[in-house]
Amino acid sequence: MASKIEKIYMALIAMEKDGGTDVSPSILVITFLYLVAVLSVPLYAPQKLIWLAAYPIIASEVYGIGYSRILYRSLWILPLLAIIGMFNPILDHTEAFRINGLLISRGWVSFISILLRGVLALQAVVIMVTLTGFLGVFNLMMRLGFPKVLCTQLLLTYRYLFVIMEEAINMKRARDSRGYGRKSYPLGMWGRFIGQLLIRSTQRSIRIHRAMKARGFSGVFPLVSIKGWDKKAWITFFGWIIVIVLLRFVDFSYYFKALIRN
Amino acid sequence: MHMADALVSPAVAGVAGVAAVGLIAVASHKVKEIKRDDIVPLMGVLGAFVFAAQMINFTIPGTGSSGHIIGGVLLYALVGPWAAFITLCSVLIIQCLIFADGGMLALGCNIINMAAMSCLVAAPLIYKRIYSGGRGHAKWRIWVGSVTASVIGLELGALLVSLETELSGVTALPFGNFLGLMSSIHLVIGICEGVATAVVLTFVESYNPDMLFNYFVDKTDRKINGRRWKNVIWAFVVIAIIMAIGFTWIASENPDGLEWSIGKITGDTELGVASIPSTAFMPDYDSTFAGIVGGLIVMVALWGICAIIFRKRRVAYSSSEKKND
Amino acid sequence: MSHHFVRYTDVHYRYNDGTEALRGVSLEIKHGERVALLGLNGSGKSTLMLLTDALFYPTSGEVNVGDVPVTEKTASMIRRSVGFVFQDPEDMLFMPTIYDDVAFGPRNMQLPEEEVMRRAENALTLVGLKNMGEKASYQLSGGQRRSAAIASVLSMEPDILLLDEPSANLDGKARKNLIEILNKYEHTIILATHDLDLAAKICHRAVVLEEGRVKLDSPIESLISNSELLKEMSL
Repeated sequence: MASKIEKIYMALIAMEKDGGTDVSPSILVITFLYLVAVLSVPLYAPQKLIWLAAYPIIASEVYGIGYSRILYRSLWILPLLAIIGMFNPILDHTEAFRINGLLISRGWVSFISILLRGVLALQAVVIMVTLTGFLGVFNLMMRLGFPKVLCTQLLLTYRYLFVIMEEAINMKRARDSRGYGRKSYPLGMWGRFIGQLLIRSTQRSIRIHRAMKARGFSGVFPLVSIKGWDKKAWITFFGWIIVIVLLRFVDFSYYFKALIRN
Repeated sequence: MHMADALVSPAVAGVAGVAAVGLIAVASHKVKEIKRDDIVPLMGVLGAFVFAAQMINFTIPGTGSSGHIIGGVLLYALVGPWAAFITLCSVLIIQCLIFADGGMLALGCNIINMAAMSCLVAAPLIYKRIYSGGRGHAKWRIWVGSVTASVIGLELGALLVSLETELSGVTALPFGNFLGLMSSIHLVIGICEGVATAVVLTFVESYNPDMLFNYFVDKTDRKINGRRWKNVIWAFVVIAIIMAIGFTWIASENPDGLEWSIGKITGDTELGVASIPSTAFMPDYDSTFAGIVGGLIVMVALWGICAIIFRKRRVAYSSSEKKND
Repeated sequence: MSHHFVRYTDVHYRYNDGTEALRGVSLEIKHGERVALLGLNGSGKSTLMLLTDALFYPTSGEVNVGDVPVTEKTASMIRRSVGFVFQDPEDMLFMPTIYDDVAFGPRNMQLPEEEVMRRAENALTLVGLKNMGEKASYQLSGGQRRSAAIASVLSMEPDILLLDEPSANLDGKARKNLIEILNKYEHTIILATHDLDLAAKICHRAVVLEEGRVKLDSPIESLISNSELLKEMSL
């Protein structure tokens, strides 16, 4: 039986193996703009949100991930979104429209909106991280000029996540093998466990610090700033911006309806 | 307490984002001023530690359920406020990007609600006062300090979550109810987190007290540069307030504030955008349904077309082998 | 050419908790010598190495690298000429890519980026990771990680190379590769290990430590061939 921590560790390893394709550095900005576009759609216009799904569909196919994969990876968030949105149909009974006499309340309309917002926002982030891997996102942050202290911190935390998790898993296995199937720890034992893990972690940091000092480190982390965007990056950047702006501001459902009626 | 993207409006996320960026900028400078050069690897590994520690559960005494540590007060006790803040920010960013725990646009909110409230507000104001209040650090100081600081930090966070949700206007749940729900849940979580923090800290103190952050050394640093950073913080507070007022005003003028403001900027009300009545939310409701159905059909078609056109580009993302030249 | 000797004169070292790790070590290592530091756990091997790279400073006595005494003031100078490969490669590889790890030292030395690149490429080629620079450390095998850790030190072009248990957790093939790499290195090597066979394949001289003192200092062949001596040294 794999525990939560082991599952997450495996997922992390798998993700880093997946990622790392050479993508335009602008994807971080594009994703950000897409999120703004999605979240700025009024709550009572889910028909507009649906059209915004074009971005994850096109992007995932263009970059060769496949939308089915993205869809699969984003649907787990639905229960969480349902909890966020469940009060809307309960509390808001105002009529939105009727389908053959069946009353649909505004609460249900906004509920659908919440589900769509959440899923689409997640899909955009999943696409970004799938394409670049975490270290890719880290590179993009460097390019966009995030503070070096934060970048170094992210880099080291991410790097040692694997190591510390491995240590935690080993400690946990050693404990589980004598634990007769108990899932969580009594508080006192947990405290000693986490305390031990903390002390091991700080000892690790002492060793890392030594290894850094031995190679001339004196407090300034030599992160080399990566060069800016090239021409191709700008072209992809503006290409996607146009797509997103069109999806957000042109009411396709209106034109679509007009098209059908004619 | 991680807020998902679905829960926030861009305006609220933007204001919180500006505040978070400001705090990160200040904290980065503050961390640079820390004299210990081992702070870089220490913070990095502690970030990873908090991450791993969050996945290991303890049994909440007297109940069947389990809880875990969040780490703000713990980090504060180990590395001081600013380093703790940056460390927790890195944890939140990684959680957001890799585990989709909290949205990317809502990251600013999450940083303010969780990292700032615990490391920069609750811990310095409460934990530090209680812990270093008298001579000698008795165990009860750690206990009282971490439980109160954790509870207050989480309650502040819960209050902010409720406020941000209310301002975003996504959920129909009234502010009072939402706050009541959030604060009662987080009272329980706060007590558990506080107890857990205290257990770990007393362990650390008995095992290796040198690991705990020395506030008396830090005080001298703070006096020298305190004034300057206070100004920066105030500047960001002012920017955030202006943005908040501005966004609220835009939002009240027109529910679709973004379109409205774009329309204003371009001066073109006939953009084919803002003028179409159905985009506003009142009239023509049955177009909602038609729009949803039509949209769904088109999206499925689009998916099919894209999948066929770009099928050759399909990269084997699931295989571990990568081309390396 | 030969100022890169290391001389220990009656070196004592006591840890904060009172443990006496070294109790009067005197030793001289000439340039180009390959010395194996042997001894049980806690005999003071690691402490002696940390002192040599100015990561610790002697409680009393003196360590000289070349003509420079090891003190806090000379630390950065010492660390330029002494390279230290630690026991766990995980502690040494913390950058996004192997290339960045190998470039970490030269960049800290504030060399121009072309020189950094030249040194990094050289070091990677030397350890047989020529085309692996763009990989992340967890994409490498255990043996490759060890090689990368060694490359990250070689890129600083040290005159003295310290290695702490370099064969720990290595399989046979990786171990063979390690020996090849180290035999390509021309300058001084000080190697702390439990692995007698490895020591014999790389070093000429064996120094056995026991409870913080030098117990034996002899050519390695005479130690290996004398099974009674080995028993006496509890190796």
